[in-house]
Amino acid sequence: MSEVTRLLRDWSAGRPEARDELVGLVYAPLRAIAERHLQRERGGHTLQPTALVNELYLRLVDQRSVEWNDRTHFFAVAAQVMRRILVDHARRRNSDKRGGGVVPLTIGAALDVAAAENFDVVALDTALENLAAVFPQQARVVELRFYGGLTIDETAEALGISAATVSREWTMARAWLRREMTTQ
Amino acid sequence: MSIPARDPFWNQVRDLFQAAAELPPPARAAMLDRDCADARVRAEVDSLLAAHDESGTFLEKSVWDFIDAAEGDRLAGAMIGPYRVVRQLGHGGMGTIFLAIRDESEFSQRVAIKLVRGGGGQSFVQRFRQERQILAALEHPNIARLLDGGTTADGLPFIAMEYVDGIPIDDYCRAHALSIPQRLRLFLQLCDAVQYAHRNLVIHRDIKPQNVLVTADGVPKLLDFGIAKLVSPATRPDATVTRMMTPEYASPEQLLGEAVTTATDVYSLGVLLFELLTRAKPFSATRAPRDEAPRPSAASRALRGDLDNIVAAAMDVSPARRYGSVEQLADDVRRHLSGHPIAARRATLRYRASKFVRRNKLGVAAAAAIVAVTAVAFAATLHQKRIAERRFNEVRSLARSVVFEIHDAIAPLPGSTPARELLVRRALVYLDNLAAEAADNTPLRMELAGAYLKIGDVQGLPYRPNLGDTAGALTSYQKALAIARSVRDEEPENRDALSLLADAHDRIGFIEQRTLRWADALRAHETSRALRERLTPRTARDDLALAKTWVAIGDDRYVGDRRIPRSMLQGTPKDAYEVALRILGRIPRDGPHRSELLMETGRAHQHLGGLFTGVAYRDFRGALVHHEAALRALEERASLDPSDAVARRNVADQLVMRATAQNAIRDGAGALEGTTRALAVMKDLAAADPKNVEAQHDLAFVYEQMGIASLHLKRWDDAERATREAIAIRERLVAADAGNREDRRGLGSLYGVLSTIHRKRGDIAAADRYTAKSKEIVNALAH
Repeated sequence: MSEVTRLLRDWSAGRPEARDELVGLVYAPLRAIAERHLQRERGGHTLQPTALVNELYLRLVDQRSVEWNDRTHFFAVAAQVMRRILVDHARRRNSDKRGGGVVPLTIGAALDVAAAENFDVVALDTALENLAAVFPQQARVVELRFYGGLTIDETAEALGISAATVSREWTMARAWLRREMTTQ
Repeated sequence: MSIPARDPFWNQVRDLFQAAAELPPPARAAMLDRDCADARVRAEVDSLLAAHDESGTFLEKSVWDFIDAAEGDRLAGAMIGPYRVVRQLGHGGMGTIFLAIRDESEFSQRVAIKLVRGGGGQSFVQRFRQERQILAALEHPNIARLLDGGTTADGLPFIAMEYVDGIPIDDYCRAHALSIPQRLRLFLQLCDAVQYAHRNLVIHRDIKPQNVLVTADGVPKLLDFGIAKLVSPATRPDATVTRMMTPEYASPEQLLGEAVTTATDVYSLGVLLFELLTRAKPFSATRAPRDEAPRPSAASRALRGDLDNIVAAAMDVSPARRYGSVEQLADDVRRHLSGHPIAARRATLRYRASKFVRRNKLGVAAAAAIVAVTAVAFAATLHQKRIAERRFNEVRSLARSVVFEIHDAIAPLPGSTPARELLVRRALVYLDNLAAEAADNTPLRMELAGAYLKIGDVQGLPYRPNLGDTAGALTSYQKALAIARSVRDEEPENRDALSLLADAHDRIGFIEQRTLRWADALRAHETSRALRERLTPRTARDDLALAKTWVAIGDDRYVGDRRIPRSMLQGTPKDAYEVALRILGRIPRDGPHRSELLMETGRAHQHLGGLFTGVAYRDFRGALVHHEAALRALEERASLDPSDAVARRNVADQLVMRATAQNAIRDGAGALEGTTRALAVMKDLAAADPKNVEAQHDLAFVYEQMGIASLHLKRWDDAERATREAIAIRERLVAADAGNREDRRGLGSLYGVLSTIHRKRGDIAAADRYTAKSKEIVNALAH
């Protein structure tokens, strides 16, 4: 059984620490896959978060030995990983303005689009950490929606709560983050 | 700002904010004045509400949208092949789509260009060359044409398609507030397009609302036919899984990375129909492959009934239990629209009713043999040159998936009938496809007609192992008839076409018999006889077939007696059976048809025996003479091949027939001896092939005669036990196939027997109750 499979089962079995280990384990492969997709086939293709995560999942997880709903756990992990990748890129760009080689072109371009829309990826990361301290569930919702690209329904399924709850939490998280990011 | 973690203050803030946010802004203050006493909480909530009101599209775009936007911007104005990009139209699972123009000539053509992600450069171009002819040949008003394809300057694969100026079908239905019937009619146009593609052996593999655009004129157009395969060849199952499916719409077999057939499109159409009806998706992207779909009526009670059943039959987890073709799905939708009963409901009932049966080994051999025969027939068909040239690979891969699916179905399930049903459903899809191909190929058409007859036999030919699907059998026979008739019209002297035509008429007649439409049955058999008599000189085989038809005519005249207009009767049943016996007497006894000859001789005598037992003659001694003759012939036949289950069954059946005559002359001992022998055989056969409806009929018949024999011997308990067994079987048969009047009638007379048993025992109340029940059934039949 692969390490990732084992950690997923541990997490499902109620050991939340397993999730942090998972994020660490999945970071490198997800980044590699994302970059491969972005660099080799850049130009007009669409990154589909679900397809990308699927590919990662199929590669890392032994599907015969995990329950299907571990896949939703996996989505949560992938969203967290995406958050880290993005923030790492943004931080690196800020510290080294010439920046080229290391940063995948498209993630760089995405950060430009975000900047053009007055959206600060690093500020969001900080605000999200503060939100997580008070309302951990709201932070998870934002992570899945914003970094994971999941819909309200998919988020509800991934967290095992109702879509109505997700919707309410999402509304409040947006207000909170909005306030925090404009007053900073 | 210091933030206290998880304390009651924040919980209060959250609850009040969420309640207030759901109210219109002017109503919020009053609610907060009432419910919020703490000024600090109130200040926090107000501050958050202010942020909420100005949050606009904040966070509405995900990281992934930023990435996409970055790409789209980069390409505007660029050249893709000969096309100039105008703007991004959107993106789907396989790539981004652009509106582009080709402006080298005086007119500029608008096209939709799809840049394909993960297509893999050169190998994509190769696959594209293989497939483009087929895909470009798909010309249908509801299918967006494939125009071109290739790679961009930097090696990215692209596909150019007819540009459809429309909106996704789900948005269209919502925007125009279409009624359910309007939605269904839109859906039917879509089915027509998919059906057309299936006939051309192209599977879509990714049907979903985003791939169905409806133009301003209300014409639905299906995009991306066959593209999913082009983009991701199913070289490895896991590659298939990652790339070409949209999880919410994919069939279970796609999710599991199994072989994809036309049934996959049927499933996705089911999902789409669900969504059109309920405005909700049945599944989310994180569903498990074998999740059962919810019923549309869970969303709206108005959808209960037909539409529930149609969606369920399209979205069955098992491909084998889904509609066998898009045509069948569309037919049911049409039937629903016109207020006719749908087929899906019956199939479900039959499935439920068939659950009680067990399985066993004999069936494996039978099913394996059928698979082998059909595989050979397909292989022969597949070698037809025309098909080999154009679509051999597609057909072959479909055929392979069928054979493997069937093989897999047989392996764990030893009963032959479920496997046969799977075979039938699959085979019909191929046949329909091939039928469209075969327009100018007489031998292939004859083969097809023959295959339709075989399939009809499996579905519901009475007196043979079958699945009890009389309506399905009739449809298959009519297809065979239409093909044979068109060949006959072109080649009036084609003997094969004439006898095939006669075969089709005969079988249609048998179905009419089973549904008790005797005049129609007689008409069919007389038509067959006339066709067969035109064959001169007749071979032994022709004579055998003619004799069979005469026996059938005898049956129609005899059993259908009072339901056939006098003017149609050209003789008595006795005449017909005797003509049959005379023809059979002309055939050399030691020839290659010995077994069949004995069989037909046995049947002719058997039916004469039955006739003499009946009200017209009441000559039971005469009947016994024929029954003995029949038994001799059938026993001789069974001795030719001890492994022949059908021959054994016929001997057993004849023992029961003889028992009816013995019972009539109150020879209870003789009847009991015969039925006891018969029962052992019938039980064996029914257990060997539990879903075989005919075996159940046989069992009911043995128990019925056994009950009567025991009645004559005054063994009341034995009589009751046997009669109740017969009733239980017939009740099940009637529940499973409501169109079957014969078993209903049998049920009526069985309750009559039960009543007699109780009357003899002196339980008058019970006897009266059963008499009433018997009358009720018989009266219901009269309507």
